[in-house]
Amino acid sequence: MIYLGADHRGFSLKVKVKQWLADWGYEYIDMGNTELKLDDDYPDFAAAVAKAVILRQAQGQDSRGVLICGSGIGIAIAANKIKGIRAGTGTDPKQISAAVNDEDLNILAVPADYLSDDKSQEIIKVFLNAKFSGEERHLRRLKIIQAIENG
Amino acid sequence: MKIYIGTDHKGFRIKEKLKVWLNDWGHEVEDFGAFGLNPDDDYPDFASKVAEKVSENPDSTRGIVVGATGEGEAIVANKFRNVRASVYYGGPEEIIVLSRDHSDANVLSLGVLFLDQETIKKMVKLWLEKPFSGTERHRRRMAKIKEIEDHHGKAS
Repeated sequence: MIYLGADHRGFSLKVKVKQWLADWGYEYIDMGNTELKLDDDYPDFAAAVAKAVILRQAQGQDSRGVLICGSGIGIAIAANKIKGIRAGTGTDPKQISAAVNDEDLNILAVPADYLSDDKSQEIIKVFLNAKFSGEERHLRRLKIIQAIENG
Repeated sequence: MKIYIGTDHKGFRIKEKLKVWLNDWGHEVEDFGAFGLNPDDDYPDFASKVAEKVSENPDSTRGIVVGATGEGEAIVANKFRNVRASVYYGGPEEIIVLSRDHSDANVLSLGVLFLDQETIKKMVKLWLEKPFSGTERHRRRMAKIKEIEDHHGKAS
């Protein structure tokens, strides 16, 4: 399941992302905003998506989140506050592929203001297709992050 | 300004250069390692030390962490209260500007595999010089991030 969220600056891209996900055969749930509201706040959507991803993963099901705002910065900061979330900001498909491979990213933050639709589409596709390597050194580092969250 | 820096093996060489630049620009630098090039070291160990210090004085200190993509270090740093870490691994300098202007980022996480030395130098300088806008809507959003920390964040 893919959970989607965006503030006003990511709203129009989110509409397109839903179409792409449907075309690619992914199931998704839109966590808002449900309308274009210029004074909405990105942490609200970051928290909604992050909590949904964690809940679904706790049930043993594969789940990822895609968050969209203007810069992809604030929304990734907010999502990463939540235990179990590893959110990365994507402007380069190669970088996102490497970050899923190494860090097992479970949320992608997309900077709508800096990416063409084609680039956004490419990055989201790469994110959803990429797999965590599961290598021992990466697992060891993820365990350290878990310990930090619990400490 | 007091600046804490840390990196794993991937950013070790650039960290040594960063120290020189930061000193030249008049900042006080504290280095949290790595202190040698060890391919087996783990980035969360260094990023967490930097973030912990910034967390203690989030408005008057900054952190700079370096990694391959920069994502893992930012994830770790953002687990700490009052830390707002943004990633930079290329692209328009507006990303750097907005990380300060809108998000008041106090940790910068650099993806060294995607950046050359001159770009790093330029972007770090810009990031250190650019103030937070302080506008009401950005403060409101930061307050909401704090609420998330209170309810869903790290235990201590």
